[in-house]
Amino acid sequence: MTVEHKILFTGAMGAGKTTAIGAVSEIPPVSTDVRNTDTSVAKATTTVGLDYGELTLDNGEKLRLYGTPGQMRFDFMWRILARGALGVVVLIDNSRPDPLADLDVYLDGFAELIAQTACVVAVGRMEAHPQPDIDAYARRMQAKGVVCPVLAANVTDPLQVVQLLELLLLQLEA
Amino acid sequence: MTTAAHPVAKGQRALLSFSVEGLPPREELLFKSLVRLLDHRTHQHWAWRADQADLRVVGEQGSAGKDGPFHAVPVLAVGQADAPRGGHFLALPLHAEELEKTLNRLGAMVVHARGLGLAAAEAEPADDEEFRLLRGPPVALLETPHRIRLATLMTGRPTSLGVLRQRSGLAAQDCLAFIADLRRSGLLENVREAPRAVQHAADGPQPEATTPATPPAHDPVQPGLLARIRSRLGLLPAGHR
Repeated sequence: MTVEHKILFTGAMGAGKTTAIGAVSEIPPVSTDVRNTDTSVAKATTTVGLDYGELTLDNGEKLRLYGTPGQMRFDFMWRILARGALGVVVLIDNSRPDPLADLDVYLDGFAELIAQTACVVAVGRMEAHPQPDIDAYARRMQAKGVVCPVLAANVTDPLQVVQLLELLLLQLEA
Repeated sequence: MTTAAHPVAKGQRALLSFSVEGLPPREELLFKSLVRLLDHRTHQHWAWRADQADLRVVGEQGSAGKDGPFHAVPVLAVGQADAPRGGHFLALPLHAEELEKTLNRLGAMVVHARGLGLAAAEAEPADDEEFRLLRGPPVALLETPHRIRLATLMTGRPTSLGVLRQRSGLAAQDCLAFIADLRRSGLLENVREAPRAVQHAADGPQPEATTPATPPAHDPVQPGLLARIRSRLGLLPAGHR
């Protein structure tokens, strides 16, 4: 039986989960996209189930990359996906109306996983939307008792996605 | 004020701290808020901490002449304009522009004093002295990838200088400088005193430590898995694959 490991990417609709997975996956990301009917978000399609990508490790084991559905109404799937995960990358879109509230949603939704494993918070679109800044995120996380790396990132750049994963792995070292 | 002649290189700004005492709560809150608001303009990054800061801000209910560990720290007196004191003084009500000028002037002084080695000496942590990172450090402290890495290694559970050095592979001086910056900005909390063998011998038998052993931060990961993932992501040098 193939041993499987998984890392989650979560965040609001449009935060870049599908893009981040596609940036590092060795297979084209499998997405369960449908036509977006939420007119507040400028996207033709959005993920209602999950995204999936994978990497084959040198011993044949698979590292599976899952993008969780962004909307809170799918939070029952977050718990299912979180089981056995190595950690979670939280993607925040700083152009959204209240990105700090978005952060709260995912820190709460994955609180158990974050407490037991590792978490990295990556904030996108900061060039055009510099506020809230990274320090504001760090303070918000402190208020929730979470201490993990938070940094600006552009997930269309595969190197930056690899850096996010490296920060996740660093936390998992004994 | 930031001008073309004095550009603020955000990533290279010194991180300084200030404490506040003797100010009415409303004025203290306003002072801290203004410092945060002015952060994009001041030549140094200023962060509040409860004590042992680089600058003491003292209101009329405080004592500017306090002795002790603060004696080498500049004092900024804040009070009514009709009762100015000697030294550095800022009149109430606070004005952002005056505060900015004052912070820049005092900040330059503190940075200069540090350069001359006049700032109060900070004790280096013992190799096994454990401390905890209280929150993600401000961007001003994370100007290099090495520092982002160090901050990441400090998340999740208490660590020590020795462990940090070993896990990061960085020089002790780099780790110490980062720890010192975190301490100055009030972001580190000591978990317990490092055991001191000599003192223990002199004091006789010691009671058991009250601090429980540090629990693992996470479930154990399959041995070799992280190296295999790193290898697949191209994060290991060729010789390690």
